[in-house]
Amino acid sequence: MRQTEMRHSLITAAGIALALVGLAVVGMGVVKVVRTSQVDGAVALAPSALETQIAQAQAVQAVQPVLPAQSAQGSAIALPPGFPPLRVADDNPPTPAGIELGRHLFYDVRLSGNGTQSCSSCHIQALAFSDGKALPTGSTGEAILRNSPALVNVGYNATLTWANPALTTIEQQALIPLFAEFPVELGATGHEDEILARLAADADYRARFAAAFPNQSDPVTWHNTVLALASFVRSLVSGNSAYDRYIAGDAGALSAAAQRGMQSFFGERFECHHCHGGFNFSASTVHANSTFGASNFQNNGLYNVDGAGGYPMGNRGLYEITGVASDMGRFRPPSLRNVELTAPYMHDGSIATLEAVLQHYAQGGTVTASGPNAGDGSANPYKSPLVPGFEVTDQEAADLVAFLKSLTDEDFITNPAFSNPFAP
Amino acid sequence: MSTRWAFAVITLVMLALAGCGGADSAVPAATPGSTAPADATPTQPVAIRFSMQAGDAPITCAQGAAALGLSQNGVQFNDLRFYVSNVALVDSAGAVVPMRLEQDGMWQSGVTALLDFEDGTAGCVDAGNTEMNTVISGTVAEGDYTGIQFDLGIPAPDNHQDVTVAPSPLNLPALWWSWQGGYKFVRIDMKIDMKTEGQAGAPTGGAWFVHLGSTGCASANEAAAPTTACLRPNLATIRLNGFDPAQNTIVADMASFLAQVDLSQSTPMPPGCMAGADDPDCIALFPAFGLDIATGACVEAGCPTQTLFRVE
Repeated sequence: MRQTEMRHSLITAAGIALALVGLAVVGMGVVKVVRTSQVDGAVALAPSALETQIAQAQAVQAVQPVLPAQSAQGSAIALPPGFPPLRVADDNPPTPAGIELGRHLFYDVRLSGNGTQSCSSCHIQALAFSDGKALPTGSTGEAILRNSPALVNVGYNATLTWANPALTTIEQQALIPLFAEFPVELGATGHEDEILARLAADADYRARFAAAFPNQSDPVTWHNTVLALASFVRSLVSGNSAYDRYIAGDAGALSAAAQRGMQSFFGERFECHHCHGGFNFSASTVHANSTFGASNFQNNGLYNVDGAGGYPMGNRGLYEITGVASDMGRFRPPSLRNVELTAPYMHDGSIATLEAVLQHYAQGGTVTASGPNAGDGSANPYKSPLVPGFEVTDQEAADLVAFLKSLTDEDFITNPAFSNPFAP
Repeated sequence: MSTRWAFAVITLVMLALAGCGGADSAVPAATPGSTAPADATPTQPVAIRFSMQAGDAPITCAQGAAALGLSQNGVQFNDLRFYVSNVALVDSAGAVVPMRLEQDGMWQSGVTALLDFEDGTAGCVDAGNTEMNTVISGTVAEGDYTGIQFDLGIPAPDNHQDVTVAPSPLNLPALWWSWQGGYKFVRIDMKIDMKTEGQAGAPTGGAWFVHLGSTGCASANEAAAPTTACLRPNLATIRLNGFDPAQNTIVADMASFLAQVDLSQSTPMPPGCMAGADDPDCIALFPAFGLDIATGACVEAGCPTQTLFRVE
């Protein structure tokens, strides 16, 4: 699920009720929202939607923040202890039937234009819904420029995809892998009616759509498909790692090495937690009780192709959206939960192992010796000041890796509720 | 960015409207030891205005300072935020009268308020956001006031909670270290314009941070709150005379604050001062807070030796 040139296109398919938040770069650095959804309460700014949000905000405000999402929002998504309630779009409260429909759609190759790929082709449960590849390939064979991100607690993401400040809901984001043309991912564009017909011809899907979206005469629509997919992805919550058990009081849950690594991780020498802090190990985190904007994009010194801070074409991060020079190379810091399973790392999958990632940060960036991307990333003028480089002993590096591996949640990657319903 | 801005506006509107509904419905559950003072009657509304400046010139994310510190370096600011708590006015007889903060669900909670002079633009994109606040508002018993007193930071009972569920404005991860360490009372991130290339001892990348908070907070681990007081609270009680809320503004002046610090130098790990008691950068900076770095308490009551705040 990646940001692509999709943002410059409009979806015109018949039957699509959702409209993408299109972005137009107006002049230098001014991003203008030229179209918002008419049906997605999370982005619609009409007065009626505002009133709804006010009412909901008051309702949420009346609830103690420690209560789980079920009581705050009528959510079907169970949250681990200590996790704040999820921020959920007004028109898409999670329901068991919606999540289950979304699970089927997520794993169904019929959702791609040529019937060869599903969401799960690039988001594999055993790998915390990443795919183990540096860069994936779309359903028609086109190369995708960005690493398939893990889908872990993305319902808490302040923004979706690697670097797009306008994508603030999974409902918006899901349109990209479905309909993107440059490059093609699932390739639904041009096959919109055909794909819906495939689903509508299946009695099981007709029943599942009807259950998830009752009182609709024709519930097999793209809008409902997107809502269900978003609900399933929002339900992919991970919070039962060894680290979680340790902070809940099980002193034996972490090895001595992981405990030392934890002290280092949260300490000021290595500065890890500034971008990867909080319950979700990402500064780009929002929830139902958030009051401040939390979008977060950082340049970590991965490239410097022209000696002036440039990143490789097509992968220039926030700059691709805003056109502002200082946004060059800025990407969203992802959650580190289950990071052991999500190699290779970075937005382009260019770093193979956790040990090598630590080396990158110890050097204050990556030096690319040769080739088209050659340059000293550590000297990138747009690099975060929190990536100055540091000295680290082999023991300290091993301890930090041990801590990062303690964020792996075995329940998450084996949970039947997240698994392939079509598996034999 | 505009969607985020729009959302922020909606949020503010929602909060404003929600505040009109019921008198105290938005008051968050108070943490023990930090309850707002009881109603005193009769009261008067009061607003305390703050400004962040370098001398007489306002500073923002986009507007840096031309010459600060012992070696007079140019400075860009990448964060400009600080918490203030236990605000009280001082009357002509010397009595300290607590102010009751409006519980606005955004900038003020219990006895703590956030002053926020960054707007998430320019260098502030790393950690900042669009929302800003320069005023503390509430009520105080009617009287004739000539001074003000406040703590720079967050009271200990509120300082070691989970940032993800804490009431606003204690819900900002950028202003939080951990359960153990608590919040960053002050976050002033600077990028120093190095006048001499390759100068020995220069801060890496020109980064110079001022992160003030409690230190020596003992707990089982970083994710556990301390059960005893932190060794060095670093909670400066600031007392300013000649202050009339109707007439005056409290200026946080970077020129006087940093006058005795050489910003062209920084010991690494961390760059600048993150409140470490043995960090030479902090040893140089702490007198400007009026704090004794060894004890984390005011050098003298009321931290009169501080050079950060003045009345204008």
